[in-house]
Amino acid sequence: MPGFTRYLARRAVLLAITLILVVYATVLIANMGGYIDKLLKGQISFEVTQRLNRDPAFTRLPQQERQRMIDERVKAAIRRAGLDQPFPIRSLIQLKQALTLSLGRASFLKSSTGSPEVADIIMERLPRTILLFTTGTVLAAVAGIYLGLIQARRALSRFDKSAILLAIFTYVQPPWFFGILFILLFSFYLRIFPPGGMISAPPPATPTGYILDVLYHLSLPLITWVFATFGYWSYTTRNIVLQTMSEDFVTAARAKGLPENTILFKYVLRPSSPPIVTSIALALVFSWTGAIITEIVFNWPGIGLLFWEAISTLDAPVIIGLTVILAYLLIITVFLLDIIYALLDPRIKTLGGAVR
Amino acid sequence: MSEQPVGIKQIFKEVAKSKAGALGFALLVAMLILAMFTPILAPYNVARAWNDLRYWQDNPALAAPAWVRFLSPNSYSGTVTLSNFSLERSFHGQYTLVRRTGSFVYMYDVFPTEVRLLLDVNYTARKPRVIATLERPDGKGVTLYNGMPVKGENVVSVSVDPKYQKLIGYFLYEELGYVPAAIHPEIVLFAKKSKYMNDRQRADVLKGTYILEVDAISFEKNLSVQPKLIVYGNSYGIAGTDNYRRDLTVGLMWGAPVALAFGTIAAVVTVLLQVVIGAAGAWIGPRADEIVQRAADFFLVIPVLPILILINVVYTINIWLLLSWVILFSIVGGVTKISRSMVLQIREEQYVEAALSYGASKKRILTFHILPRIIPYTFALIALSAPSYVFLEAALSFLGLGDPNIPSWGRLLGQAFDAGALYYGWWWWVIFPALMIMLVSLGFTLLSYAFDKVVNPRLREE
Repeated sequence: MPGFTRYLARRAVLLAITLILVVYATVLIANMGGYIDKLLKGQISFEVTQRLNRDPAFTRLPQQERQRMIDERVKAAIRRAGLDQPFPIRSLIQLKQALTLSLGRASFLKSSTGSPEVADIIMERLPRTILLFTTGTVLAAVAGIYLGLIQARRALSRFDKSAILLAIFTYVQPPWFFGILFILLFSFYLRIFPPGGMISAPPPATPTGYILDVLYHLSLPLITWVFATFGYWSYTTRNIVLQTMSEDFVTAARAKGLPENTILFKYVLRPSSPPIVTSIALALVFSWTGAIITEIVFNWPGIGLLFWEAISTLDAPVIIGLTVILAYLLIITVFLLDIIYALLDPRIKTLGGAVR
Repeated sequence: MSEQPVGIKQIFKEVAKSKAGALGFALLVAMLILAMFTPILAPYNVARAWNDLRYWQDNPALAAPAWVRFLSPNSYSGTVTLSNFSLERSFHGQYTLVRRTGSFVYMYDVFPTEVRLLLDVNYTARKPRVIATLERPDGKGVTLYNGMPVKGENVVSVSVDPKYQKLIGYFLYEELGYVPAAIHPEIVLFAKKSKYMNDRQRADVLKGTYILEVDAISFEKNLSVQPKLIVYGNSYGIAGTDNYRRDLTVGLMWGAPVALAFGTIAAVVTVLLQVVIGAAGAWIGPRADEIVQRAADFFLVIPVLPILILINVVYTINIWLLLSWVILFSIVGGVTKISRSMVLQIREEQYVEAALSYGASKKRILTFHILPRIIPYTFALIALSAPSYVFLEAALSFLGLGDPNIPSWGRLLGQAFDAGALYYGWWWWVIFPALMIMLVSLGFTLLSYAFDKVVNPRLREE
C-alpha cells in the first residue's frame, strides 16, 4: 500500500513539525525569551559577591584586585551553570534536550524523596493525576454516552431537552467552579467529604486503611469532575447518533421492521463511534495533564499543582519537562488515531494514493 | 437550507421568541443594566479604594448580608456607630476639661463582633490625657481608654489590643473577683452581670441605652476631641463583607462590567478572526488552507492556560493587556476548522460558480457571498465561547493574577478561597460571586442554545 504509507509518512512529518514548534515555543516562553537567564545571572553575581564580601581575607585586598576576583568568579559560576552562551543557542540546546527527553534537573522544586530530577518529580505526581482525572474522564464518558443514547432515542422529548440544557450548563462551568461550591456544600455543611488533600495526616498505618483513606479523599473531586464533564459526552453523543439516525440506511432498516434496539446497536452505533472514540482517546490523554485550578482548589498534589508550583517559582526545566511530555503524548495519540482511522476507513486508503 | 431563516434580523427575532433565547437575553440585559448603573451606584473612586483598607474600617469584618436579620433576627446584629456627641468645655485653674457625651441603644439579641473607638484629637503642643468610659444600662461604668493620644486619628481597638483588653479585665475583676485568661471585651461590655459574662454562648445580652463619656484634660485651652464609637455587628449590606471589611456589594457590582466586557469582546474578536481566517484559507487555495489548518492544529495543542498564567506571573498586566494575549493565543483554533469545512461546502454551490462566471473577484465573492452565509453560525459560536472567556478571566483572578486595580468576581472567589471561607462557612463571600458568574454564563449558554436551534435544523422541532 504505497498510498497508505505515504499518507502516514506525511502525517508523521507534519506532527513532528508541530511537536518541535510547540516545544520550542514553550522553551521560549518558559524562559521568557531569555529573561529568566538574566535573572539567574543576576542572582549568581549577587550570591558570589555576597560570599566574597563575607570573607575577611577578601575585604583586605585593594579595590581593583577585589573587582577582578569578583568578575572572575562570577564568570566561572555562570559558565558552570551553562549560562555563558547566548540565549538563542541555549534555547536550541534546551529544545534538543527536551525532544530527546533528557529533562535535566529542576531549578528549585524537588520530589518528596528529595530528588531534583525533573523526571522523578513528574513521575511522582503523574499517578495521582491519573487516579483522579483519568478515572473521572472514564466515568464521565461512560455515563454521558449512555445518557446521550437514551436522549437520542427520545429525541426532542421533555427529558431530552432538559438533559441538553443541563449538559450545556454543567459543561460551560469549569470543574474548579463546581469544586468550590461542592466543598462548601458537601464538606462544610453536610460534612460528608474532606475539603481537600489526598491523604489524612498522619496517614493510616494499614494498607487497606490507606487505600480507603485515599478513596475517601478522592470522592469529592471525582464527583465534581464527572458532574462538570459528563455533559460534553451526552450532548455530542446525542447529536452524532441523531445525525446517523436520519441517514437513509437507518430508514431502510426501520422499513424492514427491525426492532429499535437492533437498529440502535447494529446500524447506528457502528458508524457513529469513530468521532466518539477520537474524543475519548484525546480526553484520556488530556486527563494526564491534570487541571491546574481544580487541583489547587482540592489541594490534590498532581501534575496540575506541579505546573502551578513550577510557574510560580519560575522553574523553567519543570515547565518545559511537563510540556514536552504532554506534547509527545498528545501527538503520539493523534498519530495512532490517524493509523486506526486509515485502517478502518477504506476511503482514506485510496485517498492517500490520490492526493498529491 | 431553504426553510432556514437567513436574515440576521430574522434570526434574532426567532431566538427572542424561543423560551431559552428570551431568558438568555433577559439575563444578559439585566447584567448589562447592572454594569451600566455600577459607575453611578458605586463610583470608580470606590472601586479604586478597593485595595485601600482604611477606606472600609467602619464596616464589620466577615459580616453576613444584612437581610439575613429578617430570616433569623435572633442570631444576627447590625453595626451601631456613635458619632454624635454633646460638647461641654470647662476651665479649672490652669487646665481645661473637655467632656464629650453620646449615647446609643443596643437592642440586638447577639453580642457585637468587635468594638472600636476612634479618637480624633487636636492640640497645639502638649498631649492631653483622655479617659473614655462606657456607662452600661445597669449603671456600671467601664473604662475603655485611659491614655495620652497623639495628634490626629487614634484607633483604640478595644476588642483586639491586649492593652485595652486589660482595662476590661479590671472591670471583670471588680465584678467577678478574678480575671479570665482570654478576655472578650465585645461580650463583657454588652453582657448582663453573671458568672458567664465573658462567654459568648452562655452570657445574656444587656439591652438598653449605653452612654459613652470621653473626658480630655489638658493645659491648653484650644483642645478638641472628636470620638467615634463603632460597635460592629455580624451583618452588613446586600452581600456582606470580607475579612478586610470591604463591602462585597461594591465588588460584585464592579465584577459585572469586567466580566461582560471581557467575555463579550474576547468571544466576538476571536470567533470572528477564526471564522474569517479559516474561510479565507479555504477560499484562497490549498496552500493557504494547509498553512491555516496546521497553524490551527498548533494552537490547539499549546497549553494556553499555563502559558497565560506564566505571563501573568512574570509581568503584572492589566485587563486589556490580558485580553490582547488571550486574542493572540486564539487567533486560529477550533472555529477555524468549522468555518473551513463550511466554505468547502459552500464553494461547490451554483451561485458561487455563477458569481465566478460573471467575473466577480475572489475577494468580492468571499466578502459578499460566502462570509454572510457563515455569519449566522458565528452567533451561536460567540455565545458559546463567551462564558469560557468569562471563566478564563475568573480563573486567572482566582489565582490572584488578574488586574489588581479592579475587583472582579474571580478575584472575590480567590480571596474567599485563600482566606478559608470554604472551611469557616462564610457562604456569602463564595455564593454571591459564584452566582453572578453562573448567571452570566447561563445567559450566554441559553442564547447559544437558542441560536443553535435556529441555525441548526437538527435540534428543531418539526
